[in-house]
Amino acid sequence: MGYSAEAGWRLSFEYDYLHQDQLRSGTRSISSVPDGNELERETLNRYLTYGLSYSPTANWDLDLRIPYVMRTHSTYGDFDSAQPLNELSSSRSSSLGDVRLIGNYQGILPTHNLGVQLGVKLPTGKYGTAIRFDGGPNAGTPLDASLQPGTGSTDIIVGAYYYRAISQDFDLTVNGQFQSAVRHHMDQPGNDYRPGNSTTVSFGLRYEANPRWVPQVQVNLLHKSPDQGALADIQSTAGNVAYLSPGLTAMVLPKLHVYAFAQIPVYSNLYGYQLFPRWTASFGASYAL
Amino acid sequence: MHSDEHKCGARRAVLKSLGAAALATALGERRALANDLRLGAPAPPASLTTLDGRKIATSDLLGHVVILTFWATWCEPCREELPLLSGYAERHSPDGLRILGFSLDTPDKLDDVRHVAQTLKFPVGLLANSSARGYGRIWRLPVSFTIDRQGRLVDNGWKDKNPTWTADSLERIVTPLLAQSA
Repeated sequence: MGYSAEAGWRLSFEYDYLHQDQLRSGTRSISSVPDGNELERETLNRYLTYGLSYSPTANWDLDLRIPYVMRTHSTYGDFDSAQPLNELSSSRSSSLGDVRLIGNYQGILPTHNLGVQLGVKLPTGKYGTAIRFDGGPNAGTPLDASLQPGTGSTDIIVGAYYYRAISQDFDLTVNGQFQSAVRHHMDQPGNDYRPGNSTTVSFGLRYEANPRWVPQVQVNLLHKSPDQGALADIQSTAGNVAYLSPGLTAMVLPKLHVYAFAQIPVYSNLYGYQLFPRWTASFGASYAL
Repeated sequence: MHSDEHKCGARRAVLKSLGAAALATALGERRALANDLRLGAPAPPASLTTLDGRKIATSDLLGHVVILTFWATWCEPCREELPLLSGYAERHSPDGLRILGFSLDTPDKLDDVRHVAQTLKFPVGLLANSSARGYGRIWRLPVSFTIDRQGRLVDNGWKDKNPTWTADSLERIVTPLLAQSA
Protein backbone atom coordinates (compact mmCIF):
# COMPACT_ATOMS: atom_id res chain seq x y z
CA MET A 1 0.00 0.00 0.00
CA GLY A 2 2.58 2.46 -1.03
CA TYR A 3 0.82 5.66 -1.82
CA SER A 4 2.75 6.55 -4.93
CA ALA A 5 1.36 9.34 -7.06
CA GLU A 6 2.81 7.78 -10.19
CA ALA A 7 0.54 5.98 -12.64
CA GLY A 8 1.27 2.41 -13.65
CA TRP A 9 1.69 -1.10 -12.29
CA ARG A 10 3.63 -2.06 -9.19
CA LEU A 11 4.67 -5.45 -7.86
CA SER A 12 5.46 -5.98 -4.20
CA PHE A 13 6.56 -8.66 -1.81
CA GLU A 14 6.57 -8.62 1.98
CA TYR A 15 7.68 -10.98 4.70
CA ASP A 16 6.27 -10.50 8.21
CA TYR A 17 7.59 -12.24 11.30
CA LEU A 18 5.52 -12.27 14.47
CA HIS A 19 6.50 -14.58 17.32
CA GLN A 20 4.00 -14.63 20.16
CA ASP A 21 5.84 -16.14 23.09
CA GLN A 22 4.88 -13.88 25.98
CA LEU A 23 1.72 -14.56 27.97
CA ARG A 24 -0.02 -11.35 28.97
CA SER A 25 -3.25 -10.23 30.61
CA GLY A 26 -4.40 -6.66 30.97
CA THR A 27 -1.30 -4.51 30.95
CA ARG A 28 0.99 -7.11 32.55
CA SER A 29 3.07 -10.10 31.67
CA ILE A 30 1.93 -13.25 33.47
CA SER A 31 3.54 -16.63 34.08
CA SER A 32 0.38 -18.70 34.30
CA VAL A 33 -3.40 -18.55 34.00
CA PRO A 34 -6.17 -19.26 36.51
CA ASP A 35 -7.42 -22.84 36.71
CA GLY A 36 -9.82 -23.76 33.93
CA ASN A 37 -8.23 -21.43 31.39
CA GLU A 38 -6.06 -22.53 28.52
CA LEU A 39 -2.31 -22.20 29.01
CA GLU A 40 -0.68 -21.51 25.68
CA ARG A 41 3.02 -21.77 25.01
CA GLU A 42 3.73 -19.96 21.74
CA THR A 43 2.54 -19.08 18.25
CA LEU A 44 4.95 -18.29 15.45
CA ASN A 45 3.40 -16.46 12.51
CA ARG A 46 5.20 -15.82 9.26
CA TYR A 47 3.44 -14.19 6.35
CA LEU A 48 4.58 -13.99 2.75
CA THR A 49 2.44 -11.42 1.00
CA TYR A 50 2.50 -10.87 -2.72
CA GLY A 51 1.09 -7.61 -4.00
CA LEU A 52 0.00 -6.17 -7.30
CA SER A 53 -1.23 -2.61 -7.62
CA TYR A 54 -2.38 -0.54 -10.54
CA SER A 55 -2.72 3.23 -10.71
CA PRO A 56 -4.54 4.36 -13.86
CA THR A 57 -3.90 7.98 -12.87
CA ALA A 58 -2.27 9.78 -9.98
CA ASN A 59 -5.72 9.93 -8.34
CA TRP A 60 -6.55 6.23 -8.19
CA ASP A 61 -4.85 3.08 -7.05
CA LEU A 62 -6.12 -0.49 -6.79
CA ASP A 63 -4.10 -2.79 -4.58
CA LEU A 64 -4.33 -6.59 -4.40
CA ARG A 65 -2.62 -8.45 -1.53
CA ILE A 66 -2.29 -12.23 -1.49
CA PRO A 67 -0.90 -13.63 1.77
CA TYR A 68 0.57 -17.04 2.36
CA VAL A 69 0.35 -17.90 6.06
CA MET A 70 2.88 -20.13 7.83
CA ARG A 71 2.00 -20.77 11.44
CA THR A 72 3.10 -23.05 14.24
CA HIS A 73 1.32 -23.17 17.55
CA SER A 74 1.62 -25.05 20.81
CA THR A 75 -0.49 -25.19 23.94
CA TYR A 76 -0.70 -27.08 27.24
CA GLY A 77 -4.49 -27.05 27.07
CA ASP A 78 -6.63 -26.32 30.09
CA PHE A 79 -4.60 -25.44 33.16
CA ASP A 80 -5.19 -27.11 36.51
CA SER A 81 -2.79 -26.11 39.28
CA ALA A 82 -3.56 -29.31 41.18
CA GLN A 83 -2.37 -31.48 38.29
CA PRO A 84 0.94 -31.86 36.48
CA LEU A 85 1.23 -29.70 33.37
CA ASN A 86 -0.31 -31.40 30.33
CA GLU A 87 1.84 -32.58 27.47
CA LEU A 88 2.16 -29.99 24.69
CA SER A 89 -0.21 -30.13 21.76
CA SER A 90 1.12 -28.57 18.58
CA SER A 91 0.14 -27.68 15.06
CA ARG A 92 1.96 -26.58 11.93
CA SER A 93 0.24 -25.17 8.87
CA SER A 94 1.12 -23.35 5.64
CA SER A 95 -1.54 -22.19 3.25
CA LEU A 96 -3.16 -19.33 1.42
CA GLY A 97 -4.66 -16.68 3.68
CA ASP A 98 -7.37 -14.13 3.07
CA VAL A 99 -6.89 -11.94 0.01
CA ARG A 100 -7.38 -8.18 0.28
CA LEU A 101 -8.39 -5.80 -2.47
CA ILE A 102 -8.25 -2.11 -1.59
CA GLY A 103 -9.00 0.94 -3.71
CA ASN A 104 -7.30 4.22 -2.85
CA TYR A 105 -8.50 7.61 -4.04
CA GLN A 106 -6.07 10.47 -3.58
CA GLY A 107 -7.52 13.07 -5.89
CA ILE A 108 -9.01 15.16 -3.10
CA LEU A 109 -6.01 17.49 -3.03
CA PRO A 110 -3.93 18.42 -6.09
CA THR A 111 -0.87 17.35 -4.14
CA HIS A 112 -2.27 13.78 -3.87
CA ASN A 113 -1.22 13.55 -0.25
CA LEU A 114 -4.68 12.97 1.22
CA GLY A 115 -6.37 9.72 0.37
CA VAL A 116 -9.34 7.58 1.29
CA GLN A 117 -9.56 3.83 1.09
CA LEU A 118 -12.34 1.34 0.50
CA GLY A 119 -11.62 -2.33 0.28
CA VAL A 120 -12.63 -5.86 0.97
CA LYS A 121 -11.02 -8.88 2.60
CA LEU A 122 -12.21 -12.08 1.00
CA PRO A 123 -12.61 -15.52 2.65
CA THR A 124 -9.99 -17.22 0.49
CA GLY A 125 -8.05 -18.89 3.32
CA LYS A 126 -8.96 -22.10 5.12
CA TYR A 127 -11.21 -21.32 8.07
CA GLY A 128 -13.34 -22.72 10.83
CA THR A 129 -12.05 -26.16 11.72
CA ALA A 130 -9.86 -26.83 8.66
CA ILE A 131 -6.50 -26.86 10.45
CA ARG A 132 -6.12 -29.34 13.31
CA PHE A 133 -3.51 -30.13 15.92
CA ASP A 134 -1.02 -32.62 14.54
CA GLY A 135 0.86 -33.54 17.72
CA GLY A 136 0.24 -34.13 21.42
CA PRO A 137 -2.91 -35.14 23.27
CA ASN A 138 -5.11 -32.84 21.15
CA ALA A 139 -3.92 -34.24 17.81
CA GLY A 140 -6.81 -34.32 15.39
CA THR A 141 -8.85 -31.65 17.12
CA PRO A 142 -9.25 -28.28 15.38
CA LEU A 143 -7.39 -25.13 16.26
CA ASP A 144 -9.35 -22.10 17.37
CA ALA A 145 -11.11 -20.40 14.47
CA SER A 146 -8.92 -17.35 15.07
CA LEU A 147 -5.76 -19.39 14.42
CA GLN A 148 -6.90 -20.72 11.07
CA PRO A 149 -5.26 -19.16 7.98
CA GLY A 150 -8.52 -17.40 7.11
CA THR A 151 -11.51 -16.12 9.02
CA GLY A 152 -14.23 -17.33 6.65
CA SER A 153 -15.59 -13.82 6.61
CA THR A 154 -15.92 -11.09 4.04
CA ASP A 155 -14.72 -7.89 5.66
CA ILE A 156 -15.14 -4.31 4.57
CA ILE A 157 -12.13 -2.05 4.99
CA VAL A 158 -12.30 1.74 5.12
CA GLY A 159 -9.42 4.06 5.77
CA ALA A 160 -7.73 7.37 5.14
CA TYR A 161 -4.16 8.64 4.99
CA TYR A 162 -2.39 11.95 4.88
CA TYR A 163 1.20 13.02 4.67
CA ARG A 164 2.93 16.35 4.19
CA ALA A 165 6.33 17.90 4.34
CA ILE A 166 6.83 19.83 7.54
CA SER A 167 10.41 20.91 6.79
CA GLN A 168 13.11 20.45 4.18
CA ASP A 169 13.93 17.02 5.55
CA PHE A 170 10.87 15.70 7.40
CA ASP A 171 7.44 14.42 6.40
CA LEU A 172 4.57 13.86 8.78
CA THR A 173 2.40 10.82 8.07
CA VAL A 174 -0.98 9.85 9.51
CA ASN A 175 -3.25 7.00 8.55
CA GLY A 176 -6.19 5.10 9.95
CA GLN A 177 -8.07 1.98 8.95
CA PHE A 178 -11.19 0.20 10.14
CA GLN A 179 -12.08 -3.40 9.29
CA SER A 180 -15.32 -5.17 10.00
CA ALA A 181 -16.80 -8.51 8.90
CA VAL A 182 -20.03 -8.02 6.97
CA ARG A 183 -20.62 -11.66 5.92
CA HIS A 184 -19.35 -14.91 7.33
CA HIS A 185 -19.57 -18.50 6.17
CA MET A 186 -19.82 -19.89 9.67
CA ASP A 187 -23.24 -18.55 10.56
CA GLN A 188 -25.13 -21.58 11.87
CA PRO A 189 -26.21 -21.71 15.53
CA GLY A 190 -23.50 -23.50 17.49
CA ASN A 191 -21.14 -23.35 14.55
CA ASP A 192 -20.67 -19.67 13.97
CA TYR A 193 -17.65 -17.39 14.04
CA ARG A 194 -17.17 -13.73 13.29
CA PRO A 195 -13.80 -11.98 13.76
CA GLY A 196 -13.88 -8.84 15.88
CA ASN A 197 -13.67 -5.40 14.33
CA SER A 198 -10.26 -3.79 14.28
CA THR A 199 -9.21 -0.15 14.12
CA THR A 200 -5.65 0.99 13.49
CA VAL A 201 -4.31 4.51 13.68
CA SER A 202 -0.69 5.35 12.88
CA PHE A 203 1.32 8.55 12.85
CA GLY A 204 4.98 9.14 12.30
CA LEU A 205 7.87 11.06 10.84
CA ARG A 206 9.93 10.28 7.74
CA TYR A 207 13.40 11.73 7.25
CA GLU A 208 13.60 12.68 3.58
CA ALA A 209 17.04 14.28 3.33
CA ASN A 210 18.23 11.57 0.98
CA PRO A 211 15.69 9.80 -1.21
CA ARG A 212 17.92 6.74 -1.39
CA TRP A 213 17.68 6.15 2.37
CA VAL A 214 14.51 7.18 4.15
CA PRO A 215 14.37 6.30 7.85
CA GLN A 216 11.09 6.69 9.64
CA VAL A 217 9.60 6.21 13.04
CA GLN A 218 5.93 5.58 13.57
CA VAL A 219 3.50 4.97 16.41
CA ASN A 220 0.90 2.33 15.61
CA LEU A 221 -2.25 2.14 17.71
CA LEU A 222 -4.63 -0.79 17.49
CA HIS A 223 -8.01 -1.48 19.00
CA LYS A 224 -9.59 -4.86 18.44
CA SER A 225 -13.03 -5.96 19.54
CA PRO A 226 -13.64 -9.55 20.69
CA ASP A 227 -14.37 -12.27 18.18
CA GLN A 228 -17.97 -13.46 18.26
CA GLY A 229 -19.81 -16.75 17.86
CA ALA A 230 -19.79 -20.25 19.27
CA LEU A 231 -16.36 -20.99 17.81
CA ALA A 232 -14.85 -17.73 19.03
CA ASP A 233 -12.68 -17.19 22.05
CA ILE A 234 -14.67 -14.20 23.16
CA GLN A 235 -12.71 -13.70 26.35
CA SER A 236 -9.20 -13.50 24.90
CA THR A 237 -9.29 -11.85 21.50
CA ALA A 238 -9.72 -8.17 22.28
CA GLY A 239 -7.45 -5.39 23.43
CA ASN A 240 -5.67 -2.12 22.86
CA VAL A 241 -2.04 -1.93 21.84
CA ALA A 242 0.53 0.76 21.01
CA TYR A 243 3.67 -0.03 19.04
CA LEU A 244 6.73 2.05 18.34
CA SER A 245 7.85 1.22 14.82
CA PRO A 246 11.24 2.28 13.44
CA GLY A 247 11.98 1.47 9.82
CA LEU A 248 14.01 2.20 6.75
CA THR A 249 13.15 2.38 3.06
CA ALA A 250 15.95 2.22 0.51
CA MET A 251 15.86 2.93 -3.20
CA VAL A 252 18.22 0.33 -4.64
CA LEU A 253 17.22 1.05 -8.24
CA PRO A 254 15.15 3.93 -9.61
CA LYS A 255 12.09 1.65 -9.73
CA LEU A 256 12.93 -0.71 -6.89
CA HIS A 257 12.48 0.08 -3.21
CA VAL A 258 13.21 -2.27 -0.35
CA TYR A 259 12.20 -1.70 3.25
CA ALA A 260 12.50 -3.11 6.73
CA PHE A 261 10.45 -2.26 9.80
CA ALA A 262 10.23 -3.42 13.37
CA GLN A 263 7.41 -3.01 15.83
CA ILE A 264 8.11 -2.84 19.52
CA PRO A 265 5.10 -2.86 21.85
CA VAL A 266 5.20 0.04 24.28
CA TYR A 267 1.73 -0.47 25.75
CA SER A 268 -0.82 -3.25 25.71
CA ASN A 269 -4.08 -3.82 27.51
CA LEU A 270 -5.31 -7.26 26.53
CA TYR A 271 -8.56 -8.92 27.51
CA GLY A 272 -8.27 -12.42 28.95
CA TYR A 273 -4.98 -14.27 28.54
CA GLN A 274 -3.16 -13.81 25.28
CA LEU A 275 0.15 -14.71 23.71
CA PHE A 276 1.86 -11.54 22.68
CA PRO A 277 5.00 -10.71 20.64
CA ARG A 278 7.99 -8.93 22.17
CA TRP A 279 8.70 -7.46 18.76
CA THR A 280 7.73 -8.00 15.15
CA ALA A 281 9.63 -7.48 11.90
CA SER A 282 8.70 -6.89 8.29
CA PHE A 283 10.83 -6.87 5.17
CA GLY A 284 9.63 -6.04 1.70
CA ALA A 285 10.30 -4.86 -1.79
CA SER A 286 8.27 -2.87 -4.28
CA TYR A 287 8.99 -2.62 -7.99
CA ALA A 288 7.35 -0.20 -10.42
CA LEU A 289 6.81 -1.89 -13.79
CA MET B 1 -19.24 -20.87 24.39
CA HIS B 2 -16.73 -23.29 22.99
CA SER B 3 -17.55 -26.86 22.26
CA ASP B 4 -15.26 -29.38 23.97
CA GLU B 5 -13.57 -29.93 20.67
CA HIS B 6 -12.55 -26.32 20.45
CA LYS B 7 -11.83 -25.72 24.05
CA CYS B 8 -8.34 -27.10 23.57
CA GLY B 9 -7.75 -24.81 20.64
CA ALA B 10 -5.44 -21.92 21.14
CA ARG B 11 -6.17 -18.31 21.82
CA ARG B 12 -4.59 -15.70 19.72
CA ALA B 13 -2.93 -12.45 20.44
CA VAL B 14 -4.84 -9.44 19.36
CA LEU B 15 -2.26 -8.24 16.88
CA LYS B 16 -1.99 -11.02 14.41
CA SER B 17 -3.07 -8.90 11.51
CA LEU B 18 -1.42 -5.62 12.36
CA GLY B 19 1.92 -6.05 10.63
CA ALA B 20 1.11 -5.17 7.07
CA ALA B 21 -1.58 -2.64 7.83
CA ALA B 22 0.58 -0.55 10.11
CA LEU B 23 3.25 -0.20 7.47
CA ALA B 24 0.86 1.22 5.00
CA THR B 25 2.69 4.45 4.32
CA ALA B 26 6.09 2.92 3.91
CA LEU B 27 6.49 3.63 0.24
CA GLY B 28 5.35 7.14 -0.45
CA GLU B 29 6.63 9.28 -3.23
CA ARG B 30 10.36 10.05 -3.05
CA ARG B 31 11.60 13.37 -4.27
CA ALA B 32 15.00 15.01 -3.93
CA LEU B 33 18.49 15.12 -2.56
CA ALA B 34 19.60 16.99 0.53
CA ASN B 35 19.81 20.71 0.33
CA ASP B 36 23.40 21.94 0.48
CA LEU B 37 23.11 25.38 -1.05
CA ARG B 38 25.73 28.07 -0.34
CA LEU B 39 25.43 31.73 -1.32
CA GLY B 40 28.36 32.84 -3.50
CA ALA B 41 29.19 29.27 -4.46
CA PRO B 42 28.53 27.88 -7.94
CA ALA B 43 24.83 27.22 -8.23
CA PRO B 44 23.86 23.55 -8.61
CA PRO B 45 23.07 22.67 -12.20
CA ALA B 46 19.44 22.64 -13.26
CA SER B 47 17.79 21.79 -16.52
CA LEU B 48 14.27 22.67 -17.63
CA THR B 49 12.47 20.56 -20.20
CA THR B 50 9.87 22.95 -21.52
CA LEU B 51 6.31 22.03 -22.41
CA ASP B 52 7.27 22.03 -26.08
CA GLY B 53 10.21 19.73 -25.44
CA ARG B 54 13.16 22.14 -25.45
CA LYS B 55 15.92 21.60 -22.92
CA ILE B 56 17.37 24.67 -21.21
CA ALA B 57 20.28 24.09 -18.84
CA THR B 58 21.67 26.67 -16.44
CA SER B 59 25.11 25.81 -17.78
CA ASP B 60 23.99 27.23 -21.13
CA LEU B 61 22.97 30.50 -19.50
CA LEU B 62 26.31 31.68 -18.12
CA GLY B 63 26.51 35.43 -18.66
CA HIS B 64 22.80 35.80 -17.86
CA VAL B 65 21.06 36.42 -14.59
CA VAL B 66 18.84 33.38 -14.01
CA ILE B 67 15.83 32.92 -11.75
CA LEU B 68 14.67 29.39 -11.12
CA THR B 69 11.10 29.57 -9.90
CA PHE B 70 9.05 26.64 -8.64
CA TRP B 71 5.28 26.84 -8.74
CA ALA B 72 2.06 24.85 -9.24
CA THR B 73 -1.37 25.62 -10.64
CA TRP B 74 -2.95 24.85 -7.27
CA CYS B 75 -0.63 27.20 -5.37
CA GLU B 76 -2.47 30.48 -4.83
CA PRO B 77 0.60 32.60 -3.88
CA CYS B 78 2.32 31.25 -6.98
CA ARG B 79 -0.56 32.35 -9.20
CA GLU B 80 -0.26 35.85 -7.76
CA GLU B 81 3.51 35.89 -8.20
CA LEU B 82 3.69 34.57 -11.77
CA PRO B 83 2.23 37.64 -13.55
CA LEU B 84 4.68 39.85 -11.65
CA LEU B 85 7.60 37.67 -12.70
CA SER B 86 6.33 37.51 -16.25
CA GLY B 87 6.17 41.28 -16.54
CA TYR B 88 9.62 41.63 -15.02
CA ALA B 89 10.99 39.03 -17.45
CA GLU B 90 9.51 40.86 -20.40
CA ARG B 91 11.04 44.18 -19.33
CA HIS B 92 14.47 42.81 -18.47
CA SER B 93 15.05 40.10 -21.02
CA PRO B 94 17.14 42.52 -23.11
CA ASP B 95 19.29 43.09 -20.02
CA GLY B 96 20.17 39.42 -19.85
CA LEU B 97 17.49 38.06 -17.52
CA ARG B 98 16.28 34.48 -17.98
CA ILE B 99 13.57 32.89 -15.85
CA LEU B 100 12.93 29.15 -15.85
CA GLY B 101 9.58 28.02 -14.43
CA PHE B 102 9.41 24.54 -12.92
CA SER B 103 5.85 23.37 -12.31
CA LEU B 104 5.23 20.77 -9.62
CA ASP B 105 1.96 19.73 -11.19
CA THR B 106 1.55 16.09 -12.10
CA PRO B 107 1.36 15.11 -15.80
CA ASP B 108 -2.42 14.70 -15.60
CA LYS B 109 -2.64 18.46 -15.00
CA LEU B 110 -0.68 19.31 -18.13
CA ASP B 111 -3.58 21.14 -19.75
CA ASP B 112 -3.88 23.40 -16.71
CA VAL B 113 -0.15 24.06 -16.77
CA ARG B 114 -0.28 24.92 -20.49
CA HIS B 115 -3.14 27.30 -19.82
CA VAL B 116 -1.07 29.20 -17.26
CA ALA B 117 2.12 28.97 -19.31
CA GLN B 118 0.45 30.70 -22.26
CA THR B 119 0.15 33.83 -20.17
CA LEU B 120 3.84 33.89 -19.17
CA LYS B 121 6.84 35.46 -20.88
CA PHE B 122 9.28 32.82 -19.74
CA PRO B 123 9.61 29.10 -20.46
CA VAL B 124 7.81 26.58 -18.29
CA GLY B 125 8.08 22.81 -17.82
CA LEU B 126 7.15 20.10 -15.39
CA LEU B 127 9.68 19.45 -12.66
CA ALA B 128 8.95 15.74 -13.12
CA ASN B 129 10.46 15.95 -16.62
CA SER B 130 13.28 18.32 -15.63
CA SER B 131 16.21 18.27 -13.25
CA ALA B 132 16.92 20.51 -10.26
CA ARG B 133 17.97 17.98 -7.67
CA GLY B 134 20.71 20.09 -6.11
CA TYR B 135 18.15 22.54 -4.79
CA GLY B 136 16.76 20.03 -2.32
CA ARG B 137 13.28 18.66 -2.35
CA ILE B 138 10.71 21.32 -3.13
CA TRP B 139 8.73 20.96 0.06
CA ARG B 140 6.87 24.27 -0.04
CA LEU B 141 5.75 26.72 -2.70
CA PRO B 142 6.51 29.16 -4.11
CA VAL B 143 10.26 29.10 -3.92
CA SER B 144 12.87 30.67 -6.21
CA PHE B 145 16.64 30.74 -6.57
CA THR B 146 18.65 33.48 -8.27
CA ILE B 147 21.96 32.92 -10.10
CA ASP B 148 24.28 35.73 -11.18
CA ARG B 149 26.03 36.11 -14.50
CA GLN B 150 29.02 34.13 -13.20
CA GLY B 151 26.82 31.17 -12.30
CA ARG B 152 26.93 31.80 -8.56
CA LEU B 153 23.95 31.41 -6.28
CA VAL B 154 23.04 34.85 -4.94
CA ASP B 155 19.58 34.26 -3.49
CA ASN B 156 18.45 31.07 -1.75
CA GLY B 157 14.67 30.83 -1.60
CA TRP B 158 14.76 28.42 1.31
CA LYS B 159 16.18 31.22 3.46
CA ASP B 160 13.59 33.81 2.46
CA LYS B 161 11.15 34.69 5.20
CA ASN B 162 8.80 36.01 2.50
CA PRO B 163 9.32 33.56 -0.35
CA THR B 164 6.88 35.19 -2.79
CA TRP B 165 8.48 37.69 -5.17
CA THR B 166 7.32 41.28 -4.91
CA ALA B 167 8.15 44.27 -7.07
CA ASP B 168 10.30 45.50 -4.23
CA SER B 169 12.24 42.26 -3.79
CA LEU B 170 12.85 41.99 -7.53
CA GLU B 171 14.22 45.53 -7.60
CA ARG B 172 16.32 44.93 -4.53
CA ILE B 173 17.76 41.53 -5.43
CA VAL B 174 17.66 41.06 -9.20
CA THR B 175 17.90 44.52 -10.76
CA PRO B 176 21.38 45.22 -9.29
CA LEU B 177 22.60 41.94 -10.77
CA LEU B 178 21.35 42.96 -14.19
CA ALA B 179 23.33 46.18 -13.92
CA GLN B 180 26.54 44.22 -13.52
CA SER B 181 28.45 43.17 -16.59
CA ALA B 182 29.22 39.52 -17.29
